[in-house]
Amino acid sequence: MSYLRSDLAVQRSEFTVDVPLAVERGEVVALLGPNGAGKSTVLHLLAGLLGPTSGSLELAGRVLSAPGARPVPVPERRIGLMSQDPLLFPHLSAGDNVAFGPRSRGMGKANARVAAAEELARMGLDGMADRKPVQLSGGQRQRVALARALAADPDLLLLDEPLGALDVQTAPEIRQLLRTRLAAAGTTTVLVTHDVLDAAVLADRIVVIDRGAMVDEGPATRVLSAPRSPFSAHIAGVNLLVGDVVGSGEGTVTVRSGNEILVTGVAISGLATGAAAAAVFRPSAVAVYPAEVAGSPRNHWPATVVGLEPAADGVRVRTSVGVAADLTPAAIAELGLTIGARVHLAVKATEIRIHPH
Amino acid sequence: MRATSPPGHAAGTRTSPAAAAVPRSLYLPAVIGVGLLVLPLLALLLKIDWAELPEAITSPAALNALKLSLITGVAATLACLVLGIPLALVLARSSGQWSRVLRALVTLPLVLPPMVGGIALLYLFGRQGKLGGYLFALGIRIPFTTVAVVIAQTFVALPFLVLSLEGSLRTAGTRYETVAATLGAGRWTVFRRITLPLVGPGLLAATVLCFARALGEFGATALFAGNAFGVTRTMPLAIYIYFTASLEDQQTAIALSFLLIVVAAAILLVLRPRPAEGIR
Amino acid sequence: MRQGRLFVSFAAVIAAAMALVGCSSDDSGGATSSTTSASAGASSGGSGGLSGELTIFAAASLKEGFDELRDQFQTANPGVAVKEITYDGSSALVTQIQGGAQVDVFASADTKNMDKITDMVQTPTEFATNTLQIAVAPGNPKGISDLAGLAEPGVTVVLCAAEVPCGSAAHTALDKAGVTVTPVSEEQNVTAVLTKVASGDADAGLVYRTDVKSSGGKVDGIDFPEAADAVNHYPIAVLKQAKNPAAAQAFIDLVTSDAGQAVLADLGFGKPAA
Repeated sequence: MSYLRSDLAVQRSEFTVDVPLAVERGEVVALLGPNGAGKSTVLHLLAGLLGPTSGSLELAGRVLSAPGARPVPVPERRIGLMSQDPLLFPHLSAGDNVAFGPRSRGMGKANARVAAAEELARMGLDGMADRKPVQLSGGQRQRVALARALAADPDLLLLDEPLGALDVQTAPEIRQLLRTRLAAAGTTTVLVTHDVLDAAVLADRIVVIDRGAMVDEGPATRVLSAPRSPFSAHIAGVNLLVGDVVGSGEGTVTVRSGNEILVTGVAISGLATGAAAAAVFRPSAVAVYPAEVAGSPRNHWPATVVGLEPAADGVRVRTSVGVAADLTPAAIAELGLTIGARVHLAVKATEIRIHPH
Repeated sequence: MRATSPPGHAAGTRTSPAAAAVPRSLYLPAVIGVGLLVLPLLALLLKIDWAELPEAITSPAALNALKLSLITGVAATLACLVLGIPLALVLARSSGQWSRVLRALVTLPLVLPPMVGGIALLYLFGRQGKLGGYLFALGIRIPFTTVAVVIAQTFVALPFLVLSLEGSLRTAGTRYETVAATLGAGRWTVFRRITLPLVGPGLLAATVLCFARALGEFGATALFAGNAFGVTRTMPLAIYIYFTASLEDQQTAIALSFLLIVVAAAILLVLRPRPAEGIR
Repeated sequence: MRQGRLFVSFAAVIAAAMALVGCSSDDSGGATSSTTSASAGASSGGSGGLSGELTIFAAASLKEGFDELRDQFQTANPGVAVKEITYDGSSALVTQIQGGAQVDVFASADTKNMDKITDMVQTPTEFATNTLQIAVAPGNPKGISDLAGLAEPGVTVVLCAAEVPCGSAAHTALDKAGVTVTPVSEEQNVTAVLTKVASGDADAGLVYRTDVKSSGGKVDGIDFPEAADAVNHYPIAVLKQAKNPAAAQAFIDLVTSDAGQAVLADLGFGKPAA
């Protein structure tokens, strides 16, 4: 029986958000997805801040929400919430902020203060208990917010873009802090983030959501290296083409993708003709030619340039066939690439992995 | 040619950009406006017989009115807090059709002449009134008593407190309350430890405003509570009767007016109205 | 926070003011009366053994006379706490009584107003009459000699409102004289009219001769023939709802006694009709 089991769903104006979750105790699950996909909605449903139109929720052996029954009110759910905005109570000191959860649960003032000081020390904020939030830096405030959420000893912790408001230097510190503290406290966590690095560092499992529905799900390493949906691929920084198997050769399989190009690559496991499959390859494996290539390599696709974006090592070229190629700026200049230019793309079959879809 | 500086600036000082942006022709109406507000008060202060003032202020008539005003004013403010804080909270957290209706009802005493309020109260509680008939039969008399003064003052001052506090509550928003709830705080704890403290300054300002309005209330009090010495003759009523209908007591009226001006100045010191949105 | 501290000091000042005022004044203290004896309930049964509180409503024109009688009554009946008498236009007082004000004795400046609450009072007794006079600034600078003079252009006149006894008397007199006057203001009681003439805010007003007499020279009074046709008869009565009917009746007895009548006559009131 999973520690957290949810099949809550809610009707939105454009689509229904329905993301079933089964999370084990101590697991960290990351929710990834494009803007407006419904990630925050899922968190609000779990926290009880939004009423579901169907489904139920069980946590730590308690039924928190079930159709027909009165849902357990927010203060009794033992579910903590931490967002981009630390939302520290401005009129209370850092120590009183952290002590708020324990005191609300009945702990005495003195004991709560001691517990708060300990939690703040674990966050590296020794001796800052008497400071008011306005006297703290952004990073310090987020630490206090984490301390406050953990001090309340929640059964489930929800993180909504926790690093979103932090600057480039502070974010890695807090990311690391989250990693150590969550592991140490063994807190079951559901994390919503845009940044794949957060998922890569913090998450045990990743759930990818698009338009309210789950489109990919699995262990973090698998989702990031072998994504099954365009969005996961996008955030994992890989090319993904999905289609049906139309043929096979010596160790290779050919897939006709949705946009009518033939992709030949190495099959990971046995794939029968007609089976649904996904082809994954890195943008740096794509070669770009101004004209048809002599010798006809297996993967050879004519395309038009539709976008040029900065990428980690140069420029990412996006094309009309849904394939991205990474080139150096020098190569771009040499080819004279502009938006609308016609090119020919070529990829070695050995660089492409084909998975069942 | 030397640029002319706006009135009030010492010759030769640099004009600040803001001052330079005001059209010259608007200064005259502005000055007249200030004059209209300040000159009558100055005239009153000049008319005071300063030698007689201490005696006038400590005369039984003046002290009695002052004491009655303070007692009823404080009582009315307390009533406003007990009734107004919950009402402001309900208004601030509601939306849609009903909240608009509710807000309009609460605003009513603000736009009504207080006299109308007095008549309305009399028609409710008076001997011939809807509720009053029953109360009188039970021996409960409300009109023309000190309780009536408190009711009249609460009637006119409550909207001040509610609307002013509602503004502060809306500005503060509900985000902190949400966080507090996830940390395990029940509704009453959230209200006590988060909602109220967060609107502290706003609540303070609203309370002082409410007290000031209650203190200055005349119309509703005159009609619903009457003007009996020691029972219902608050400062404004005392000023009215001593000034208009008593040859000997005009100095008392002026002394009481002076007291009210002093109270008003003290209130402004506490409230300290700020240029833009004022209440946090 | 700074504002909090300011508020606390504000509240402290208010509390201190209340304490100070509470100690230095007493509830039934009079504004102008001289010998107010001690507070309610003090002491032993002087004469008559009357006790309790006494609440009196009286027409504005009776202020000087009734304040004097109140002092006399208080001295003679130390067991009764006679509250400050509420003076106002008789019509305003009637409205308050009808609205539920708790009163023991009501003295009106005319019978019309007393009749309005005929079912709320014991049988009224007439105790005085009053006649109108024209009040003008000392020396009569505008040279007004009769009612017609009030209608002269350039003369500002103040009258009582029509439902107030002195106002209805004034209208009766003006009608008799065939004079139409446009007053600059209609006041709720006669003392307000007197005050306006005394302060110079109006050139003339129609008040009672008793008001002129008690103004201490601040106004001059001018008689006019039509006043005799507009004499006001003053009734006084005990309210049926009176909390202290015994003391109420005792006060009325004082008013109608020789001593009381002498006080009123001194001030210029006329004798009651038989």
